[in-house]
Amino acid sequence: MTIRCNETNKRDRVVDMLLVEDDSVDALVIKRELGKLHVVRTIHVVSDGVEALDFLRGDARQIHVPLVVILDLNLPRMNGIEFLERIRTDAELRHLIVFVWTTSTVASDRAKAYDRNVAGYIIKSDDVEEMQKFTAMIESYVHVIEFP
Amino acid sequence: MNSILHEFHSVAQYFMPHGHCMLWQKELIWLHVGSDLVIAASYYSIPIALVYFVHKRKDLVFNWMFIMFGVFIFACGTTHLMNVWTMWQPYYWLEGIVKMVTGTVSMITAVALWPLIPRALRLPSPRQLQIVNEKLEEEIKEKNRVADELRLAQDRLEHRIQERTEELWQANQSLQREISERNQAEEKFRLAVEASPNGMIMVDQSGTIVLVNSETEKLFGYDRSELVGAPIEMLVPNRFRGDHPHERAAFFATPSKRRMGAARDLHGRRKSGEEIPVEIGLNPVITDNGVFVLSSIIDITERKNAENRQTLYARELERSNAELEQFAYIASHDLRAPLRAINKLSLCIEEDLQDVMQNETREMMTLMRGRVDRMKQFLDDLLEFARVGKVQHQHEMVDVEKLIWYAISISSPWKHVSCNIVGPLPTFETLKVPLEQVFFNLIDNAVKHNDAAQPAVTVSVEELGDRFRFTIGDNGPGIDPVYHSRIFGMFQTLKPRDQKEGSGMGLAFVQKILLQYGGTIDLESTVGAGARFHFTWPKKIVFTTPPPP
Repeated sequence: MTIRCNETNKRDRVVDMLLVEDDSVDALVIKRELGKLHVVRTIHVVSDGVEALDFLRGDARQIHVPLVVILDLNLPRMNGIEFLERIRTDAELRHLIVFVWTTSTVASDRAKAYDRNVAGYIIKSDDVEEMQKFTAMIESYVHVIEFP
Repeated sequence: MNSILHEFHSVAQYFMPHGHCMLWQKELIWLHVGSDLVIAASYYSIPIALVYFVHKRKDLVFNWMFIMFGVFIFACGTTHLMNVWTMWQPYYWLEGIVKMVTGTVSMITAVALWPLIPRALRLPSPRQLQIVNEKLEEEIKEKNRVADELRLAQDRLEHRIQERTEELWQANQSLQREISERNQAEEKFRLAVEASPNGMIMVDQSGTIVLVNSETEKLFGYDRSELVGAPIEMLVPNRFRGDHPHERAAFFATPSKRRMGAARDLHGRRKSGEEIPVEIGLNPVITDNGVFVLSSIIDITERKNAENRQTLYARELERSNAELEQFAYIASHDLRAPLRAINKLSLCIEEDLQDVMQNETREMMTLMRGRVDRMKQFLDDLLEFARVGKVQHQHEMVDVEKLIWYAISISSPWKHVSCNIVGPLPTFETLKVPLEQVFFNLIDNAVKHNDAAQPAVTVSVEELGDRFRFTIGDNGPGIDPVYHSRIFGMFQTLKPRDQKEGSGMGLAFVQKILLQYGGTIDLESTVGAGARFHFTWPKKIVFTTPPPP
């Protein structure tokens, strides 16, 4: 059986994560949890949309694994929706996989996010179980899907 | 005399008596004498009869003719008597004279008679007279009849005249009454117009003021004498003066009671030139002298001011509501975020230190998280409390029974609470959210504090006219009457919070809601006998917008 060199065994697949979150505690918590996942190699944290764009157009070029973005909506300087707007109109960044992770329960925020093709919209929960489901989902996601 | 007689007598000696002619034959003589005597007698009697007739019939026409006939017949009679006399005594000259007299009279009579004949012929004959008489009688009868009818008609006429007079009199009376009524009415009208607290102006079809009251004088600063007879336009501000006659004409074309300029702000112009905001009602008055307009003018300066104030208040309220919304958002978001962080961090710490953490430390971590939750709950409850009455809720159909079951199910999912519903609970249209909040809180209390082996909640309802009276009863420990008023205070609990978690806001919240929407609450309870909370809720909520300050 020939194994093509580029083909990565799905079980060994890893991704990098870009966490766009301004609350340090939230960032800390999710970093801890996501960090436990084998599928996650490195978690990069930025605090707003501007820093995120800078990263994506700069240091992210060095990354050769797929990148999954966890995006909060309420951010200083450039909020989540504006960020989504920017990447979806950028030829290189259009296909980024973004999960929105926010406290906002406002229906219009949800609508705007899905309008900009997010992979999922998740409401931040204090519940430990919910967090575990979230990380489990990320793991499954990485294992199951084919990245663009 | 004697000489004449003597003369005659002597003359007579020469003549032969007439008997000689008859040769003194007795029979012949007596035939002539006898006849002459009869004739004479008749000819004497007839005139007597005639004269008597004439004398008696004084109205006889041509009575002189009758006299004449009498005379000549008498004369003729005398002639015949002379005939007799001359039979034996030959007084022929006397006889001749008598004959001559007779002849004369006869001739006169005859002559006089002829012209009389036509006249006499014209005199109606007895038959004619009778006919005429009959006709006359007929006519008389007719005339009598007519006279009778006339009298009858006259009577009737008089009767009718009397009636008419009576009618006229009555009419006159009622007319007088009407006049006096009308005068009174006019007087009343004037008084009413004068007494009106609004400015009243009556204007004729040409726009000339015919009547004002003292309020109008005050309103516009003119004296009555300056207004009556003047055009109404003098009270209209300059910029509207041009259109006003046209508007007037339009009104008179279809006069009806209405507000003038329904959508516009109207202004009147005082003598000083100052303008006042007014509201004008127009009433057409149709009289015999034509159509007038009675307008009622109200100075709405005060009302406008009040409206402005109200607008200001409303804006102020909007502003304060907006502030509250901001506050609510901040409270719910920014105040909670650190609390969540604390909880998460404590979990992380516990996780990281789980190998070395002692039980006491673990307990403290739990307590810490409990306090954080408590604070979150306080924040939520405080927010809800602040929002009562400031948020617009919708009217919806509420099935109270369903509401109760739902409240029971969410209040304590881990406890089995039996619910007893007495009688049909109403389904009616009301503000769903506040009513739900009342029920949820009361039922939550009934369940939360219930330490009975078989906790049970009873819900019943009573209809009291325009409101419902709901009762939520439980078989819990009951509440000492000493605390009945305290528990409705904010943040008041009867048990330490570590024993019974609760912000203590529930009943304060319920009370505030009921106050806002026109309900009441009271408590019936003693220790060991459970508790019954009664609250009333209006069937129709009167106002749902926030009350003005």
